[in-house]
Amino acid sequence: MRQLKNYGRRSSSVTSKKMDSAVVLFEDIKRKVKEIDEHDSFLCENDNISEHSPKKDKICHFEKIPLEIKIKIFKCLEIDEIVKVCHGWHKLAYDGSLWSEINLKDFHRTITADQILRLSKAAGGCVQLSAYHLKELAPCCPNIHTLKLLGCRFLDNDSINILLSRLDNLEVLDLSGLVIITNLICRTLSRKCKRLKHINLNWCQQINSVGIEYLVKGCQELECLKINGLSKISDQMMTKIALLPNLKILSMESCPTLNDDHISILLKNQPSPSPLTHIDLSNNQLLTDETLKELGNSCPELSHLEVHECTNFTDNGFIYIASKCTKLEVIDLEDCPCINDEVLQSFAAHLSDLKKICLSYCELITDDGVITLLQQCTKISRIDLDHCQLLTDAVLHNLSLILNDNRVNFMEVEIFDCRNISISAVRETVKKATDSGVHLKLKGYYAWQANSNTDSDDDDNGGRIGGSSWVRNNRLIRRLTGTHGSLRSHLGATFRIR
Amino acid sequence: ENETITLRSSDGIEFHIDARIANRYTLLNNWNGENASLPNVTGKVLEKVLEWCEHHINDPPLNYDNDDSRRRNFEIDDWDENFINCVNQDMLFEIILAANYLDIKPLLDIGCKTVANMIKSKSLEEIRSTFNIVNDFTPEEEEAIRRENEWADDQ
Repeated sequence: MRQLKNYGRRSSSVTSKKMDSAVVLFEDIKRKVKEIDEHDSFLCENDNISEHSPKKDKICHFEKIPLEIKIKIFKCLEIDEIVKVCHGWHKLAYDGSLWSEINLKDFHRTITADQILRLSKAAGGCVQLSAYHLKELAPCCPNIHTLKLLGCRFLDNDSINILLSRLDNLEVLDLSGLVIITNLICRTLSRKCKRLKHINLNWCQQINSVGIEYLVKGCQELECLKINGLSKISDQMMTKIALLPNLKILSMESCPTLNDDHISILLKNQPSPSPLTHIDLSNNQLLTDETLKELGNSCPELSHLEVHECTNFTDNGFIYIASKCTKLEVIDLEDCPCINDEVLQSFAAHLSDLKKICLSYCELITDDGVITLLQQCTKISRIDLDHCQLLTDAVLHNLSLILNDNRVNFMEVEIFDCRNISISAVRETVKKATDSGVHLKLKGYYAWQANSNTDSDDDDNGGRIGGSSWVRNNRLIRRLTGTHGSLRSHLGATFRIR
Repeated sequence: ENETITLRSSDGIEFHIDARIANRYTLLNNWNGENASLPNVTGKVLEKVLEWCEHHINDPPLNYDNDDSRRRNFEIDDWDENFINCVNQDMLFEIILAANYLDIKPLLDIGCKTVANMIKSKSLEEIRSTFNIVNDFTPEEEEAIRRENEWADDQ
């Protein structure tokens, strides 16, 4: 009777009356849920404004067939024929049941390890990849240039070591979260993988300055070093890191002992000017404005600055760095409590290349600051303003005007939990963006409604019905993670601008 | 001479078919009888399905244990091709659904392969317009997908 389930939706007869009414009921519930969703959290988007409207009323038969038949059809096709059609097909292309058998024979020359990983994940995850398998794999793939082993928790140091010792051409290595990794791995890397450019050792707690020293000695081409969550930061380690001549990307999020002196040692020992373009120092409570000043003085090429939850940075520090690092394109300041309109004004004055900025939970900022920023930084295509309670509809009105100038064709705005921004303003903004031919993505919800139903609303109650548990949970996560730094860092990815 | 059974479609149309067909596709047996009718399959669709079944009444039984052996096989025999090409897309999907519902695997296969062939070697725009699919990717997403699938494109 399995097939009965898959059919559904069609007009019924005596024998299946019960089932069909069940289907109808379920659909009704679904429709209701959808209505609530639309009001509670919204994603207003005017995707592909030019193309689709004429086709809207035509039926897509493909959509209506059961998943297992779609999979059956896709099994007859190659992945490249389906991934690019639409979101639904893209998702299906990576559906696990489609990839019960992975034969990469035809692609062996061109497929990247990244893609293999993604496919193996789709087929049920690679966590079962064992130490034994890795040893078996080692001699077969000397050409691998990208290896990501994050989350493969059954691997041991030994097998990773054997594999790495064969990979002369390795350029990208991700070992994040593998707590078993020791300094020995760094030694192997330094001897064998001379071409290594990117390494991710996030949360590999056993790595200390000895490991970093090995790495620096052998892998002089390193451009990207990620050591988030390392607890053993020392002066010595920073001196070694400084010796990497091409280091562009450095990520040291959530390193509990990282302080201003460490940053100062790093920057003093680096070639001048510092080659760094990306730096992530998020969630480091010991860092102060001194760090921002040092960065400003030494890193004129800096384009990405991520310092969310660095509670000791003040407005002065940010104003200084903006005046020095004028090439900044991406800035993440989420939950930096001292950000105010003056900081935004200095950004507006100096950072003409700014493309993405996250100001969520910067509760001091007001309409004036954001509007100045939007007006003067003409390249902005993404701005996150979650939980900025002082912002009002004026921000969105101004956004409409800016979008009308045609300076960007795509804009993403997040305004979760901004209680003074109304849904009517959101709708109007999206409508105006459509008129201007700009693809606008506006995301948000009104969490405050869940807690305070007493507020008397002037307009548009429709947009402010709410209080789902989802909303509260989300907020809870933010609160929770705000106080527990390391947990936050694990969850952090979902909140980050990329 | 052969024993016949009676099937009734959801809209009440009766079909008298060779009992061997019903035996071949066991699910059909469930709807033999005076008052029973097939839910969810209309007379129009059932007629096509039974037409196919009748033509294939003497086929040797197929071994369906090895799903993968059929996977990349695009061969559809001439009669089937003619049969399936004579229907419009609405009917094609109706037949697929009915074949799935009635557990007629070879017919389901033919339907799926036909749909796959409609996708094969077409441009994205052609695929979208064939199936009335709306392109819901942003330009950025399109670029990202293009990049992540370069390995497949190069073939």
